[in-house]
Amino acid sequence: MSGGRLDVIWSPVHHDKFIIWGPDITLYEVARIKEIEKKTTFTPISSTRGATIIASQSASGVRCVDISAIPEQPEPLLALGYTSGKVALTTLKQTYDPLGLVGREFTSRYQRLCNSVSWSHVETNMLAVAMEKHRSDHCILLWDVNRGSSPADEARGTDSAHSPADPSKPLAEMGLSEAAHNVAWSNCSNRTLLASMNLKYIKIFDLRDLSNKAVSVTTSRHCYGVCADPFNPWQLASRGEGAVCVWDARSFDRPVLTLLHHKPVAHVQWCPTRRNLLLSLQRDSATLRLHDIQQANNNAIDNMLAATAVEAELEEYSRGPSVLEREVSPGAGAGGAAAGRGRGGAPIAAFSWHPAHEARLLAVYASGMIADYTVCERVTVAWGCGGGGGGGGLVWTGAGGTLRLMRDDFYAAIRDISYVMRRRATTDYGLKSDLWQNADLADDDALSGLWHFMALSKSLVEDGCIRGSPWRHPGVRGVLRSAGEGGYRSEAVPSLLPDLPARRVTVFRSGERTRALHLCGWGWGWDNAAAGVERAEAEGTPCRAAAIAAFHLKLRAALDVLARAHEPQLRVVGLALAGLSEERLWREALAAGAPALPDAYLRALLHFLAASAPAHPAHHAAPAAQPDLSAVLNETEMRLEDRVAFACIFLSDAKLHEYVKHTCDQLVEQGDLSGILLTGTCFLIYTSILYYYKYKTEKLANLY
Amino acid sequence: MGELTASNMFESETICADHKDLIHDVAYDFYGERMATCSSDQYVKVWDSDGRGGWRLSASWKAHHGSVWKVTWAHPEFGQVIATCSFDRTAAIWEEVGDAASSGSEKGLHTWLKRSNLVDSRTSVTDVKFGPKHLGLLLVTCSADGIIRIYEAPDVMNLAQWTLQHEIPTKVSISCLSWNPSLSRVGNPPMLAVGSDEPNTSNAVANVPSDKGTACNGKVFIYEYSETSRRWTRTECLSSVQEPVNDIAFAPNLGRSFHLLAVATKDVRIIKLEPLA
Repeated sequence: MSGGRLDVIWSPVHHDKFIIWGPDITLYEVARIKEIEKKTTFTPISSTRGATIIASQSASGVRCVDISAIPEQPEPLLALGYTSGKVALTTLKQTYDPLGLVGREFTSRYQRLCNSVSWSHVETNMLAVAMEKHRSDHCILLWDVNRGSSPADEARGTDSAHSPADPSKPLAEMGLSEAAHNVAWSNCSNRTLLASMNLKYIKIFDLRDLSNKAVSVTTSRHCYGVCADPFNPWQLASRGEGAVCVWDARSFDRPVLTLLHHKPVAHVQWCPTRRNLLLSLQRDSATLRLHDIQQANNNAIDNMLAATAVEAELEEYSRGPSVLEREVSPGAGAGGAAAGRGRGGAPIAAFSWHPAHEARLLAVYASGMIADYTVCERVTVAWGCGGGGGGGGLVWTGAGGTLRLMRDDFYAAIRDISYVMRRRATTDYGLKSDLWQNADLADDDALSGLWHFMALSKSLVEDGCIRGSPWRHPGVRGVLRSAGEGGYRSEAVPSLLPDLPARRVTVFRSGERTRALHLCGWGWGWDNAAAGVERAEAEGTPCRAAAIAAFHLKLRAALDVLARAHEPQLRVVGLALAGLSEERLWREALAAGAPALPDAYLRALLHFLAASAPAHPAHHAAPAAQPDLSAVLNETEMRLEDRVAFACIFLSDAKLHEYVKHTCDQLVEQGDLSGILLTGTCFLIYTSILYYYKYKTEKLANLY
Repeated sequence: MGELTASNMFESETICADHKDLIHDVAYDFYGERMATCSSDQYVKVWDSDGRGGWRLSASWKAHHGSVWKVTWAHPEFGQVIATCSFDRTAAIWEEVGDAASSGSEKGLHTWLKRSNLVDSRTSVTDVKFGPKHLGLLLVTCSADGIIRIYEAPDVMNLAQWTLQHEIPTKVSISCLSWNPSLSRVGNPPMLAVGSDEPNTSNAVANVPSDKGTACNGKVFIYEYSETSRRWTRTECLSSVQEPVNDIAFAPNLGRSFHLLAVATKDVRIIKLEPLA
């Protein structure tokens, strides 16, 4: 028994269990690390999975192990081959044993080393055993485990050893006075056993008729570890000192492929989940080598279409398959501490493909680290164009010859512009004759605001409210311009706040300002402000309603709105408003409290009232300097139209123009669509705002 | 997209394509109503949308003698045409003929005929792409030995005749390529991007002197066609990409003043190519 030996085998039946076989044989169970109970010690095998030890026993004297594929077994059933030539069945954990197999032993006539055991995965009761040479005995024994002797039988059964029905006699014996190093069942076809023999032969035994065992033989130095491709009954692989050979059992004279390696090959196994994928491990290597065997001449004759056209080519293909190779290092991908130890450092001692999970394998490093690894293949992704009824999804190649498809509705969740545009197009977005109808279709606040503005300004032009505009959709700037240029002066009206007699403000009025207010949606007029307040309240924005009322100097209405509000917080604000005074205490409390208010309109409201001048200096000299309303005007969380309307009421001509111009420039630069309120559809500014907007969002196509 | 990721938000559905081996490529047609898949099982399958979100197999045939790496649709203006390329060193042009051939079990399956077989490559043909429609009916292939071949069908009605217009040796193994789909001919000559999957270990091979005479060990090369010299020349080597390239794709050009190229290595990079003024 070699001391440093380490091997790993997945149970073919229990997909979450594997054994590691070194000085001890240990049975592990794999689970997601999240699901492993706390305080249980486990070995991390990947970033998400861990393995817990279920059972363990000494492997003293054991030379070979295989796990049975008998589906009834509650725990993996192991066949252990000993140095004495004995083969024993065992489960590492005491469990229910439905078939009564645990403890059965199979012994050869003469004592010698047992080299290999192999369970058939097709007829799960078949167990093949490979032995060292003995001059008067066979080296390969085939047992039917259901007929094997239990320990109890053995005590009394030795004398009847030669009766035909004798349970202690193997079903078949092969290789008289030969040595077998390795046996393996082909899991594709029935009862085909592969064996590596006498350091130079590969033999294939056809055991369908036990009385007439057909054998095919080939001679090769690379005869070890022969194993069969689970997908192709003819394809075998074997390993040797510096090469892996791929064989076609139908032309067994020479290997179809010889894949050279620098170092002796320690293990070779076909991937059980993917065709033509062979994995090999070189001794003292930290990586595994994948051989993707490309067949270029499979069933060429079947292809009737190409039969004549490609005759010439076929000659070339008949040179046989070739191979795409790559190296994988399973430990490098494992998370955390495992990665550090795996990379470059310790060599891999053994690996085992998972019997069912796509391209998953387990590698054991000489250091004892275990790495759970899945061989990745290139995944191709394709986008469909949104066209047809079912099209437009995202598709990618999945495992096992499947496609994964995502319907195009997921674009809606990420608000992908192409999806939004397509949906708009199918609802005639932009084509509705009533402009506001487009707003509903836009399903986007900025855009629907734009459509509402367009509808409003169009109707104002049509009603004759705004005249002489060169554009169909004039903006505030266009409407106000005439005032600045034409020498109109707005009428400044000092006003008192009806409910706060100690306060006064100056209100500016002119025809242009009225029209601008109309554009801002404040078309209700000075005397009819209650309508606007009601509308804002009905929209569920009590703060805005209160602010509008206050900006129309109807403080009582504002307080009423706040008192009616659902949130108690707002009623508290009402308290603060009512307490308005010149007291320093109140002012300081305001300065501290206002920024904390959640709503921009409330802040604006407080700032507006605080800025209103006290009434008593009125009879001092000239009208007091303009109150500082910048706190309100810079409250950018307020809607632009409300800010502009506020400016149109309370700013003097010069300041108003400056404010509008400044805000307009700012919005154009930001590509903010709401800026069209100011610009209107004046071509130059309008296009530049769209340019910036498109630059920002690449949404140009939304607009028209 | 913020915190949304495909895995935790969206369900994907699985189509059992019934390929016997790994699927290497899947491609939508121009309208997104048909899909073609190709696999190591040497088969190509075509799937049609049923208009209600489902997909139905409409054709399946053994297209090559080796793994089929890529499949790609021609613009529908040229008919229902796909091109495939394979480990068997060929690329093939397929055209759908007639309507559903209704015979027994084959009912509802369409027939695709091999119109042409491009056999110039001596090694595995790793990618195949039709050129942008405005350039005519062009096809480009690349192979593991690093030769890019550009074919043209002089008569778009005759898919059997393809002339090899250009053969561009690159000296590195080419795994993938992409046409720049930009429509503008002015200032945007026909452009191809190719990616190499040459492993990084063999430095000697990877150091390919570019046409400008400077060594570049990038893995992505840009080729442009010069109308005056009637040649494709390497105009750029993206030295920022050092890892083997698995796939490469230009973004559709939506009136941008630059090109966007996505490069898949171990990760994905989006590279902005700005034409020199």
